[in-house]
Amino acid sequence: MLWKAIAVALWATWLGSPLTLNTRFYAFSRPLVNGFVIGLILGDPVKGTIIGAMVNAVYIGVLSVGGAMPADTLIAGTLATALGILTDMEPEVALAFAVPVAVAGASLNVLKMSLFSLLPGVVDKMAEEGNLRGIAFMNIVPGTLWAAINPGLITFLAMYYGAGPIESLIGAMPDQLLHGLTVAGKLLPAVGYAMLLRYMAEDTKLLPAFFIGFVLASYLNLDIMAVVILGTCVALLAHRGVKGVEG
Amino acid sequence: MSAKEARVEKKLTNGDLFKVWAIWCSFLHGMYNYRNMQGVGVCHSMIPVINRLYDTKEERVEALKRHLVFFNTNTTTGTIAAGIMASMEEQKANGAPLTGEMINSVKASLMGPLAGLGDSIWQGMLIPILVALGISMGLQGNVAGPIVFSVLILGITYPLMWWWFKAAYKQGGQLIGSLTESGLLQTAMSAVNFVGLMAAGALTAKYINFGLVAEIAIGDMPAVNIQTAVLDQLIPNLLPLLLVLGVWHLLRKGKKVNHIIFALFGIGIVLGYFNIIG
Repeated sequence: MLWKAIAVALWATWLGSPLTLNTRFYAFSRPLVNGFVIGLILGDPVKGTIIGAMVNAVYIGVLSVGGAMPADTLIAGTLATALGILTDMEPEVALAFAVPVAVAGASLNVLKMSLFSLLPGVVDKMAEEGNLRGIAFMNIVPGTLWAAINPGLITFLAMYYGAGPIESLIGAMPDQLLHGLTVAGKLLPAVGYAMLLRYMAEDTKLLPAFFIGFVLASYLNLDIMAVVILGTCVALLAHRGVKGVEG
Repeated sequence: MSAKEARVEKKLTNGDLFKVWAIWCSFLHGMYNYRNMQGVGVCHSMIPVINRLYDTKEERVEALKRHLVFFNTNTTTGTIAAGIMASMEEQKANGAPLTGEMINSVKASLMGPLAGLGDSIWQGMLIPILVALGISMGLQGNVAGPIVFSVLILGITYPLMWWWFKAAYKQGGQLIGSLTESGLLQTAMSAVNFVGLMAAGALTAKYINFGLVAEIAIGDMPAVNIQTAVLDQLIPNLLPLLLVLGVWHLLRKGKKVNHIIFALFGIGIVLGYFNIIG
């Protein structure tokens, strides 16, 4: 248990640090992938993937625009999969556990950015001295140290000391409440898609596209890829068509 | 005469460019903060350039300071800005009449368009679509889901990021001027949003799965399941559609995402507890 907790904490630290060539952003810290890897570490990649996929569905539309993230999906995905596997939770219950963690994590990130706002003064001084190494150091080390605490240390503590109490808490829950949590888990992905909609239909002129996609998938049962390919074709035709008329 | 002879053209090597690109990708958010956002990250990425091009301390200090200013863009498309910065610094070091202010005004004019384009394509379309593919496999316990997703997104993103970084470096500042002035960027953005919206509509139908389970019995007639008898006949997946539109409406009215999540959470638990939806 000690070593498993350390291994997951180290993986989470790497994901939280700036040492990933940004692969964390595109792939590895997405709950789907993160859950799979933590599942591998803990010996149950299938369950890790399922929990990760469920958590990811809720936050599929969470965008960081201008740096403000309403939810920390890294810590949420990490703790939900790790504790979900260790305490043998139903995946839906693990998802219910992830929601408050994501919110708490987001406020920790605001705290981090606020603390880091005190540091550029130091960097400015280094620039005055032409201290290239110092600037590189400041851009690498504090961020990595922070990652060792959040999510690193937090993950370790939650796994090492939290697994027992959480297991007994879930054991004490009535079945109907667990069923309620499952249903809540089914509603939550709507938030993710609504956020995508909010972002892309800022200009509501394009809103019909959303309904076209819905009809194609709902009535005709087309896959997402088919819808994307159709959409790309329509966009290309519309663009070319306009040009043709002008020419 | 002698001054002319002493002037050897300064050139960034491929190694320098790779370092700039790698630092940009990895450390742009190294010290993300509210004061200069990615300023420290940008400055860090320009260190290989400064090291190669500037010898005197004054030149180095000046270059470091101009890249420590406020900067905030999308990492992915931002490599275009990095390529242009490297190119402009090289021209300046070779005596082109470029001032530090000119370099910074080009940077400032790039931030917005590049952020808009990168955020729409990656966060708005590419990642959600590919991750939805992975999620649909992953929900069934298929571990190929996360692997396929990772291979696709990384395989698409990194070659592009490197390719347009190099193109931006070679073309310098001309590239972005032609992009923004031709209106191509605007057209591309609408196209991306159009496709992304279609995908969001399809995702709503496919991956939000709940309906009414409660049955209603009127008088002596057999109990009617409203979901299968009425709603599915009207519009399949009507409730998920209405829920997404409802949440969208709340978001547009400025409600906080986390408040909505907690409210839905509570509603879901109650309706599930009493077996009304499932």
